[in-house]
Amino acid sequence: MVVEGNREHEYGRPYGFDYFCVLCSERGQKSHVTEEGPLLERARAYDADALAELYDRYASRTYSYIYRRVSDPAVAEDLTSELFLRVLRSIRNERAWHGSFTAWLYRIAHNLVVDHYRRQPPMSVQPVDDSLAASNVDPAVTAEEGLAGERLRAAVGRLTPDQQEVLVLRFGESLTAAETGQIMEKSAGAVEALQHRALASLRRILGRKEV
Amino acid sequence: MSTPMYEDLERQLKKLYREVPPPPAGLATGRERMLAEAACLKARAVRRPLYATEPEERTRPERRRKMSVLLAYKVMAVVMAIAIAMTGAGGGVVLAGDSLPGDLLYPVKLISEDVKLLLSTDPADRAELAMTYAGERVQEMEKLANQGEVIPDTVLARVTRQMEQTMVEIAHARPEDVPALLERVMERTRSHLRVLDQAGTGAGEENQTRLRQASQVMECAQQAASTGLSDPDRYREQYQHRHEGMLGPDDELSPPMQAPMPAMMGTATNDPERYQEEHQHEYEGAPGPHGELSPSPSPMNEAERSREEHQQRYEGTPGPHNELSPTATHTLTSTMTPSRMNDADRSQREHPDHNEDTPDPQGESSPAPPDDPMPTHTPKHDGHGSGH
Repeated sequence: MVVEGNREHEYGRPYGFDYFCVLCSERGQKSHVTEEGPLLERARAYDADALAELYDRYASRTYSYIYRRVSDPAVAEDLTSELFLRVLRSIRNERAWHGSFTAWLYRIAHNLVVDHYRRQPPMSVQPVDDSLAASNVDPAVTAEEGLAGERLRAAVGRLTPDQQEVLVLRFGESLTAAETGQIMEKSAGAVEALQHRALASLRRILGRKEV
Repeated sequence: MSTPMYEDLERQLKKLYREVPPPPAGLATGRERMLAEAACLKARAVRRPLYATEPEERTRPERRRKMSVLLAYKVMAVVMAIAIAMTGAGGGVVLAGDSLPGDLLYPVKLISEDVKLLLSTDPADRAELAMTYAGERVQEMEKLANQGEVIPDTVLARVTRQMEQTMVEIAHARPEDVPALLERVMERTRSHLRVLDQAGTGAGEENQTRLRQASQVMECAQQAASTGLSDPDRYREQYQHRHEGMLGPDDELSPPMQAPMPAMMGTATNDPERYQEEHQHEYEGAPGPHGELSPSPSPMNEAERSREEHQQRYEGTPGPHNELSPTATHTLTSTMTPSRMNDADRSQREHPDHNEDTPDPQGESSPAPPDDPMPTHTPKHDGHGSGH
């Protein structure tokens, strides 16, 4: 059972998004969410064990998210490390979380990715092969699925950061529109509209006709 | 979630995102870095409220005011006069050199150190002085512990500040001098750690805590120096802007790493709209109710790099007028206004060749969904109406 929306729970403040903590597999497990509150309190006091547990709990998933954005394991690992340093430096300021620690993690990750791309020289942004738009070859019928994947990855790279983020959150992290909205601080409707625009842009870039 | 029109594309995206290779180093390095920094932050937070990261626990960030050289000479003259009056001889300041916390001449000793630092104009010399004075503090702690006297918290605070000042001054030194200075830090902190460790033997519980905390300071400095030796340029970038390097008149500390640079605060305060426009996408927390954004790194140039180092420690802090960011569940509409600018500006700025503003013959003639508060993008290419 998935519980949506903000709910008070035993810790005494609305966790909402954390109530179905998407960074673990235990959706709707209240006992898990109840553990989170005290853990964060200890982490805010720089308790090493609590911080280590937070890291162990979230590092892998945030790494996966960042990898899906940057497509480079080494870069993703560096940015994941940087993410947790930023978390550490701001964890005592609860206002940074807005009551949702996991959403906050995603926001930091998103900004790290954006900054990473801004630091790249313009030439390093991989341009989409012009033949993509003009090609009449349907990638689905080519023997090499990897080539299709690379084309798709390159095309995603041409989207705006927000569009890339919504696609990764929706199709990579498998979040609902509401969950994605909490991370991106948009309404569910705005998320769906953004997703629609992202997919439309992808289609244009790939030069595919509508089904 | 699935749109029939794009089902094939969604399927391909899911397949694309499914494959995630393992991290090359297994994420262990990041864990160690975080825990090491946590130990440093914890040590500071215990000692002085100023080192706490929560804004409400810090005093209002105050600019360090440099004492003019003339004022420094005046202070030195007063110090000398007091020392002579108290001792009846010119050796007052000299005698103060052996004093310990609680002794009559101890304040003279500290003032003498501060004035020498102020009068020194070379960052490398200041680094050496700060390092020497930090060593003095270690010696004082050792003597107090051996005498069975309680080590005051102020000594611990001072040694922390002096080690921090050492690292900052090194960053301001000539680049060719930085590696040698960092080597000296490594060497001296090793020595200090030995002294502190030995002093802890047989010390009371309270002194053991102080000595342990002082050891943590030395370990942090050692770690910073070690990192700096492997990448001196990066070290200089990180430490050059940390603080002005001068003491305030009330001996207050410049806020440590977590504090914003005055320039950054000035920019955010003096021209919030421009600041927001330039950095509106770089925030970790939500915008304040007036659209102010928490600053975030933007390492495109020197000024932006300095902002980067401080802004990341300001994740989600209140805007320039201390207003709180709303929670994610509140007033989503009100938070959309900055996002409207975010999306438009971001789209134009970061993907200038991007054509996603080109109207989609299928979609763009239709109005935005009612709960989408913004026409997201300003069309670039044509005279069509707003975006989606």
